[in-house]
Amino acid sequence: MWETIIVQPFTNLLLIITMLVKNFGLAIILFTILIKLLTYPLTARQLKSTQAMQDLQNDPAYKKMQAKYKDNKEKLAEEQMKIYKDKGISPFGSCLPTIIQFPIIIGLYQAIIRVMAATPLELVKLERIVYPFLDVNKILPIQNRFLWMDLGQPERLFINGIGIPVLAILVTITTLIQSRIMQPPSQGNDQAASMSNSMTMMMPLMMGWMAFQFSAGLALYFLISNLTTMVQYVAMGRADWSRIFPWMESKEADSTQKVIIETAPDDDDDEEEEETPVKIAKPSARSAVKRQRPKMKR
Amino acid sequence: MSKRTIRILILLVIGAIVLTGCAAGVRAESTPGVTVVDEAVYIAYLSKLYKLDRATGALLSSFPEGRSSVVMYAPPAVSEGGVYFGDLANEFHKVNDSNLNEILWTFDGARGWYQARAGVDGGLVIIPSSDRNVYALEKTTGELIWSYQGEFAFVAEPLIIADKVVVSAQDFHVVVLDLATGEELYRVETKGAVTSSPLYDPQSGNLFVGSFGKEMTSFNLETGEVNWVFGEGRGLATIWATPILVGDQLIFNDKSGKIVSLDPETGQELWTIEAGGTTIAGLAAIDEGGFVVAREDGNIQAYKLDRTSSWTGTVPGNVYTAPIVQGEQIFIPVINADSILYTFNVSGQAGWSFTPSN
Repeated sequence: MWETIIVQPFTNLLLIITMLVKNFGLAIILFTILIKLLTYPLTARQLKSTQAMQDLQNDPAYKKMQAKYKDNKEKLAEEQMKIYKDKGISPFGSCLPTIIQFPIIIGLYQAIIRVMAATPLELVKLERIVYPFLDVNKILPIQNRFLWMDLGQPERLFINGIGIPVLAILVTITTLIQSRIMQPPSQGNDQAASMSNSMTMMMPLMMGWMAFQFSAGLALYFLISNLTTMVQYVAMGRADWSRIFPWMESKEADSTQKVIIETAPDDDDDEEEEETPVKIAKPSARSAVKRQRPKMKR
Repeated sequence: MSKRTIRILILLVIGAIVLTGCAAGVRAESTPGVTVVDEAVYIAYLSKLYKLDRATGALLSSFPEGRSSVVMYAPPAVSEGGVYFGDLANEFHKVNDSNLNEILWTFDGARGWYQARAGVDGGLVIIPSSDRNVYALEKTTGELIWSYQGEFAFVAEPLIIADKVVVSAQDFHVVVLDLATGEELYRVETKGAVTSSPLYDPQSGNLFVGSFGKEMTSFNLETGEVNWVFGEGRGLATIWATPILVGDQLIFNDKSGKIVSLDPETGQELWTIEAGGTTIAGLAAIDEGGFVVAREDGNIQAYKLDRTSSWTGTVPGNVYTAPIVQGEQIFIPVINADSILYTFNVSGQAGWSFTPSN
């Protein structure tokens, strides 16, 4: 089932691209970008939902409402749902696109592994899933050579007899940059911030290690995937470059003011004179940034 | 560090391990590499090289002594007291046949895996590597004499015939090299990748080789001229294995289970058996009057040359490499089963099997 629906079509698509461009390395790059573009609406939706949730979490009125109903879970949930509904936020809006993307990413990853078929047995298994309209005897095996790399082997650039893992280094750096520019702003929660920082440090090392150990084809996929994700973030205006280049303007300060909850209604609250529905007015991220951008300190 | 952070880190590590297991790294999937020489059977599989007693299947010795993460699949070559084999850590060793753990030399000049048996003849060891090179090493010292670079990984055993080396290439060619220098003498074009060694007939001086191009090609070793090509319009599937010569017939199988007999001189079809079932492994001659074929699903069939079935048997697991016949014994390497090697006698009675201890 998994093979037929995900891995086989992806593998054949990758083979078709390879046949068209006559270069497996280039095919991996194009294939990764293509899949990233196809899943872009999901990524954008996920980012939008995540940002909206973050904005809401940072809103003082929302926090006040949470504090007010901290002993009344039922009421708290009711109020939260009301706000979500009014704002059009789905609490699962950031999870669902991730869940949908996950099999696509795994399928893409497995397709690359299949096509690289490094042993005769792996070649047998690849031949088995090639669609009949592709002339298998003309396309197999795939030429794994790309630039200085053998895409079926762990990548090393040999200079004076020393093997330098260029791709592993690039994967580590791009994962670090990607993690930093995508890191959500700190919400004053020490534990969350600590966890976030640990992740930001661990992920690049883990990805770098995998790129070092895995065949170059997969390391190339990691690299292109990182770069494409970064480009998508930049295109959506979500990248916070101040986390890489401290002299640049930070978006962190802006993120706390994007959602305005005028009042949090409370039947039991004496301070609130009248019951008013929750109103949320959120300016667009771009306009909020423009209006509230802090001045650079010199 | 909070408990939650630790949990996430553990999850990340587990994720990395799972992904590593899925990847085409050094844990590439392949089949046991088996060689039978005199009274010993050698098997390279996963992290061990085993030497067994041929009569009983008893383990005589193994390499390395302790645990190892280095994987090896290439069948070892055995010659004059030395055992030659390579691994997926890009190292090729010569060890003492009497004591497998006595390494005589190691060649680490390749940048790719060793997946096929080396050719050993005279003073040279000819090694095909996945780094697109064929290496020639001096037999006693392991010193590199020459290397030949191709376009794809070399995954078939090279044949050393007199002063020539015949190498199957995946770039739709069979390449013939000068044994002394590694210089390319000529190449014979095929219609697809060649992943199996050619068969050499010393009487006629001809070679026979099958390819993914769904054809069998015969060419002369001395001249390089193609004698005939069989397969056009015959509905063959890809050919993964070396043909055999039995009596005056050249017999080969394709992936679809079709077994074809040809006149080796002319390439004329003598008969065809539609045996069915996926057959990656090749055939093995069991005597002058028959042969055995092992299907992927573990079904073993023995035939006489008149196409009648002699006997059938089964082994658990899957078979991807040709059976080996030595004297009265048939050796069948398998994967996806408890044991990695099963034996039969030439009458079809099951013998011992070998299960590596963990």
